[in-house]
Amino acid sequence: MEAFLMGTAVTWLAMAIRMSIPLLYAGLGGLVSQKAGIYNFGLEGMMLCGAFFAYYGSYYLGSPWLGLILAVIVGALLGLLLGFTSISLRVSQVVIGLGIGILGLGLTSYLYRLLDQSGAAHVSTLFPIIPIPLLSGIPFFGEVFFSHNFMVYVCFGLVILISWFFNHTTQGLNFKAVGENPQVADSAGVDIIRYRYIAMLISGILASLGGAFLTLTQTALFIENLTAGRGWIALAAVILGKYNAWGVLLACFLFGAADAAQMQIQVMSLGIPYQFLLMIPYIMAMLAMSGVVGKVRAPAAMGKPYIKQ
Amino acid sequence: MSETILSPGSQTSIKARFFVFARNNLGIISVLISLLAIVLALLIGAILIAIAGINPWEAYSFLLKGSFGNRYGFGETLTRFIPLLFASLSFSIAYKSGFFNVGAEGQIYIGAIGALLVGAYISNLPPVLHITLTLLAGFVFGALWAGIAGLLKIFLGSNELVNTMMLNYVAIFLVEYLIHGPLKDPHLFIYQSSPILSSARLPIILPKTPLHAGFLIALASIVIVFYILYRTPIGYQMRTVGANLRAAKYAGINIVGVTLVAIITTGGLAGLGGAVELMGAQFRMVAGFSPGYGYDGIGVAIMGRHNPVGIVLAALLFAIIRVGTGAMQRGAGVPFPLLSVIQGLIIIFVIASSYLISKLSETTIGGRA
Repeated sequence: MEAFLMGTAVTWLAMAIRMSIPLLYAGLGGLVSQKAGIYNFGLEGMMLCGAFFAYYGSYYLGSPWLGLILAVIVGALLGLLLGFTSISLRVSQVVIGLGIGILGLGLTSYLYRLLDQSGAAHVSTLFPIIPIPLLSGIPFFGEVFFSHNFMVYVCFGLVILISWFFNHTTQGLNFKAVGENPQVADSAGVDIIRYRYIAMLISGILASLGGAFLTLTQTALFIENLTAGRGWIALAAVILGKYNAWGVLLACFLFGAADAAQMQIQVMSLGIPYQFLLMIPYIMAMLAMSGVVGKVRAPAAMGKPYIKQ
Repeated sequence: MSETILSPGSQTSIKARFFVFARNNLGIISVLISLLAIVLALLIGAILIAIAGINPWEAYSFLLKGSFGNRYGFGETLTRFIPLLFASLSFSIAYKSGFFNVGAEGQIYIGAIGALLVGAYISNLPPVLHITLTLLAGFVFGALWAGIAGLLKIFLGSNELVNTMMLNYVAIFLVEYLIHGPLKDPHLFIYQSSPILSSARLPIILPKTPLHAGFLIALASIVIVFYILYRTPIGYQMRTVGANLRAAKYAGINIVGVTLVAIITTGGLAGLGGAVELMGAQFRMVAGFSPGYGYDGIGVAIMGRHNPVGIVLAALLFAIIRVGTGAMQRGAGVPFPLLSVIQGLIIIFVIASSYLISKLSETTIGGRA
């Protein structure tokens, strides 16, 4: 019995990490754009496009690496689209984000149906699991933390990098100033527009990688609307994580763990209608975000376009 | 940008004249820009159709023929227009009041559930009363569903955009559960609810087409919504809260109360849309009851620039594209998701062009978050 519980716990935690990584990539993408004062409400659409083009590259071009590159390019383009419209044209960031979401859903479903006229499932190549030598041999922790594919390790690396960048480098502090008080940053010689464009470029790429993670390491398949709202859950994670990379990591892990738990409960067939289990991640995201929101302060210039005086 | 104030006798360049003309005719200019946005979106759509190895002109001729080439197609277009109009009214009234409701999709589902409960399970009522009560149930259920995100916003300051979006997923799973369980029609093997009773159904108003009386309810709703927004004190307060929260506070407007009214009407209108769709078109709850009307409504509202005439025209356009894309799929084999591609592009082009319009009008840029 004890061994069984232990086994279940290991499976659950390892699965929780796998479920939280797509959220974490997208969440970090949301974090970077919000630090620079721009809402990225296009996360969902960007993730979905990343997932599709990564799958396309992996299956039709024959290598998951090509898929990854394609996802990066598509993410960058979408990030720049959102950047151009919200930074240079100064139009509603919410509406552009929603537009990207609808376009992304349509485009990926359309192209997928063109590919998939036979109706057969085309399974693409996945990135292999790379157990970290020695560490992966540690009982319990080895399996939970050190037996994943490389995109998981990269994501954890990004958390460290982004946290360090915002807190310990001049550019990082400039970034925060751009999101907090662009007027002051501008008079101190920080190029607001340039920083915001860079932020959107990175944001788009990260969100797209979140989607790519799903098809390149988990499903090996594409289905329409594969991301199913994960981009929005990632936005909730940015708020729950208090606009801090480590906080976003914890928030994403919480949501990922909830997702993993509901999947495992489904398998156990305890008689709970599966539809209620499927609701859990969304309800949790809503409640968790609402629970902290009064105590969190968003960057002060969030959502406000900058017009040079 | 260029100086557009012209003093008498000054050399007036063509460019300057154009700007003066544009500023005096902003309405015409925005209509032209919207048309351009549609053309651009259809052009990109044509490229995608060509990628599929299909002749775009042939495909688009199916779009036109299917959506108003014959009596039935025309009636179907006007029938699709109804839920689109409700969804866009729902988005607009909230948007005008500073509340971003992207949850119309979920509110349509829950509103339809409310209508189903009254329409299918309460019997022996005269039709007029039964229809009224069923519509009312749709409104109330939709309002309550929006109210979840609304209360989280009012009391905790929680982001309504994320919450209304989350509630869409929850609503769809909830409805799926209900039609698999408690509300499943016991006489059927497939998972559908029982049908609503004939006394709760809306009559057909254009014979030999699916067009039902919900069309009239939709047209009445648009008049009522814009009357409230522009001709009543509460409407004025809603618009003030939406346009400038700080000014609204200084003016002593009860922000919580006004926001609450906005939430009830936005959710209620979407719920009413779900009820009307159930009572006039589908009669039973099924999985996929709404094929995305809630999201389409956002596009309609944006394209219609939140004004009544614009919304009617945009809803008509979106209905034509929706029915026409179905015809393109049947006739030419164009995959149906082209619909969302075209709609997404229209949204992006129209909102991007608002930069141009605000430049021309030289007012402050309308870059709301």
